Amino acid sequence: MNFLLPLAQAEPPAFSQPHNSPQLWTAIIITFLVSFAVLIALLFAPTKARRPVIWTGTFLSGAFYVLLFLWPKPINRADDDLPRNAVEGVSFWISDFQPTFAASTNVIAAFLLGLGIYSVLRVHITRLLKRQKDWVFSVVLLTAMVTMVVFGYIDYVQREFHDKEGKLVEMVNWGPANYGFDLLFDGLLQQMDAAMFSMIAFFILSAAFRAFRVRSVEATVLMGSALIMILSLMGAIDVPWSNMVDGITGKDPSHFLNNMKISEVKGWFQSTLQVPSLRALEFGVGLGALAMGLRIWLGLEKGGVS
Amino acid sequence: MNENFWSKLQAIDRRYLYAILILAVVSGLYIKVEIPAKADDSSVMFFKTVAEIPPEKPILLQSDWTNSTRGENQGHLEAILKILAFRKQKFAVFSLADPQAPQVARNVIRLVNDSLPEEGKLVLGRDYVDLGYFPNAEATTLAMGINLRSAWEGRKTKMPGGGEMDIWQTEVFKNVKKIEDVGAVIYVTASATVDVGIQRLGGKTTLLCMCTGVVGPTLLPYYSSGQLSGVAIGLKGVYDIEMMMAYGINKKQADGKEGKVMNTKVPGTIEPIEGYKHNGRGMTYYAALNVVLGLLIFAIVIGNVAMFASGQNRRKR
Amino acid sequence: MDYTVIKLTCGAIATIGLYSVLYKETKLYRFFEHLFLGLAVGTSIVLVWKETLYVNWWQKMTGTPAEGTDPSQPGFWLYAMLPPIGLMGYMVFSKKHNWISRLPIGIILGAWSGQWILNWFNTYGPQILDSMKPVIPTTWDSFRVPAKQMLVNGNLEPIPADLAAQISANVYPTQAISNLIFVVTLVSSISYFLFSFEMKGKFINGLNTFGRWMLMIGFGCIFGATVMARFALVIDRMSFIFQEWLRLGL
Repeated sequence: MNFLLPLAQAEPPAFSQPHNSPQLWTAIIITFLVSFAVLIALLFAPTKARRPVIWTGTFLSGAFYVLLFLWPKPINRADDDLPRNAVEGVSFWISDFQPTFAASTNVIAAFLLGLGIYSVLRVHITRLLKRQKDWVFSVVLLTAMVTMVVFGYIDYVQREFHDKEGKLVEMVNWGPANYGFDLLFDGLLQQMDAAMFSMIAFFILSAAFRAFRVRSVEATVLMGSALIMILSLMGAIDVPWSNMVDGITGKDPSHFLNNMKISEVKGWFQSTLQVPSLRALEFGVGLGALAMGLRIWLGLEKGGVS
Repeated sequence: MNENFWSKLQAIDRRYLYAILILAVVSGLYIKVEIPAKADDSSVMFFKTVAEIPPEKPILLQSDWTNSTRGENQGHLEAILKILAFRKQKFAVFSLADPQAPQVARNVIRLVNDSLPEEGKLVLGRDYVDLGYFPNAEATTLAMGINLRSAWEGRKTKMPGGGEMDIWQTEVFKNVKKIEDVGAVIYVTASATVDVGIQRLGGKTTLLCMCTGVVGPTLLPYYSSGQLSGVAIGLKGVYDIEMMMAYGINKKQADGKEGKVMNTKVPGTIEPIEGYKHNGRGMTYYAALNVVLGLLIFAIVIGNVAMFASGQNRRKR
Repeated sequence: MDYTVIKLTCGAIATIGLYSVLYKETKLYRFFEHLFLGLAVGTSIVLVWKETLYVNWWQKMTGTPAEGTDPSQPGFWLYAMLPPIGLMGYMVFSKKHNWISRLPIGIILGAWSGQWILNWFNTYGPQILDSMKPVIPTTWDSFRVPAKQMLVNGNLEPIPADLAAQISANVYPTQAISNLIFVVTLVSSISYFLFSFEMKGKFINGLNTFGRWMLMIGFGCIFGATVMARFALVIDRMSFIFQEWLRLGL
């Protein structure tokens, strides 16, 4: 069964070379050029080939996880176990390769993050060069972006490569770049991030006053449920009310009136009415997502792959 | 009150409402009284579960929030870090949702360390490891469930005496071979990353969550079915956890009165965190939350009264 | 001037600048809005390399040198395939070749779809099991669930553990009624999502309408919790300005 050994290793030695060796760099460059050549070849692909290419890529990446689900899994596998037959060999390979596959999709997703960055740059550089309306603000945006990249990168290089002892964890050891990055990230960006999201609360209050009206059965039910939830969050109301009930019942835990405490009402409401309705919502979403997942994997979604 | 008053009230400039909200919040912040509150069952089970995890088992702390939800999540992270620091329980912090999240978590760790006594401070490499950000939450979590060592292979951490070490050689992870060997995975999140964890790690280890109020209700079905062992939801969740850190669960007060946090679902007593000072973020913000929620209820009631009153007056004419 | 004071002042001015939109949209607000966007984009550029590409791609592709007791790690040159695949995503900007951008997206979506099939039961299986609640009582000793606490000298104490276990093992009539309400709520709410066939008949339509009302209960719960979340953010901002920056009331 020696020929199955390579299958038990997700990143077999055949695809690796020693760090910083000429062979490694040669292999990297050749692999990159070959992959780039495939990209160039795709530019000349006939129209009929487009759908099969996309479908193949989508299907194979999904098939890996379906195989992971369906293929028999090893039980109590020790680190030095070797596969005894083809089925075990495939099983070992799937579980060993999964982190590599996950890391690869991570990297592809990271490259795609650049799309958003590229879009922003395109819009604002165009606005600046053509002196369109509010171009001054585009200057502000681009300046802030470049400043953050410079300080952020210098801070990262210092911490990652020049601070083996971890001295930069303490603020007393910081240099100008570290202070600059901290000011821009923690002092400005994080505070503005919080401020942006907090503005929604003002609009909620305004909407609650102007628009939250009891005009239909649905609105009344929604408002009632929300009020019970909100009252249960307010200890300043919940606890005095509970104390009043305790005063009437004499703190007798078996008294029926204990069910009138806000926390008890909310607990019953939550477990008997809110949880099933939210669960039904999630079942609906889950079934829809499963159907959509199957359609995407099998290439039945016309919009996605054509 | 005539129709003009109610109509004018409904048409009030929204900027007055914004000013009233700011006044309400600021006045609430200066109420320095511990407001009694009944801790939610889900928060109580969160604290109980954490208290019962053996201290020698490390915790995986997935911090998936940024400053946009600082009001709630920073309180969550500060509370759990203090619990882990006081219990001397080792942990790994990482993020799957946002590239900014690891830096935000590092800033909070620094802040919490400033409040800890010298002998109890968290030291990178000894007490915790910082794994950074992994962009593909689904694939990374699945990899963690299948083979934790492979998923995080090659990751290094800075050590207290200088240099770097493979995380699997550190005190934090040397006894961990697979996901089942960790004490729990705790999510501090503002998004659906906990759903990803339940899908891929469910049944393999204990899952706990500290989340914002926005995602909290959607996690209640998971808590109800036992997929999550405990959930601390929103600012109320922060307050509940801080109360339990200060007073324990079902623990009588010094004067013999019943404890401040009582729950019949918890058998016996859970001790408070020794050395913890009850001055966390939840304690600071909870009074203000009560004030603004009261303002919201008042606004909804007045708005509806105004609607009915102006409607009635129109019918009379 | 102390760095902490400078940092807090910058953050406070930025916060107030953004809050100025609540009064009116002004150039001041637009300045801070663009500053925020610029900083966010700049951070993303640094973080994409620092948190993702360097560790998950560059180090794996080029290997690492020996350090202390750690041996040198070889580089796996197959990772060099990934940049061209990622770069295919940028073809979305080309009118003629934008179909190529669907390949990396298809790989990621395919992986997501495959995982969803893998994980569906992990998500919903326990919830389906939990929804099977007993609707018939197992005992009529008491109509309501007996209390698990007793009053001792004015304080509430737990009842003996064996008694508590006995209570937990039974289904009392009030619990059975609550469970029935649970099941009816669940079924009626699920029925709202049945779009595969036409809703005919009074019973189905009634169930559908009732399900819609029950869903409103869930939405009300979400609204209440969301309100708490949003107000917590404002409370945090005001605490930052008044207590951390202006140091009033500390």
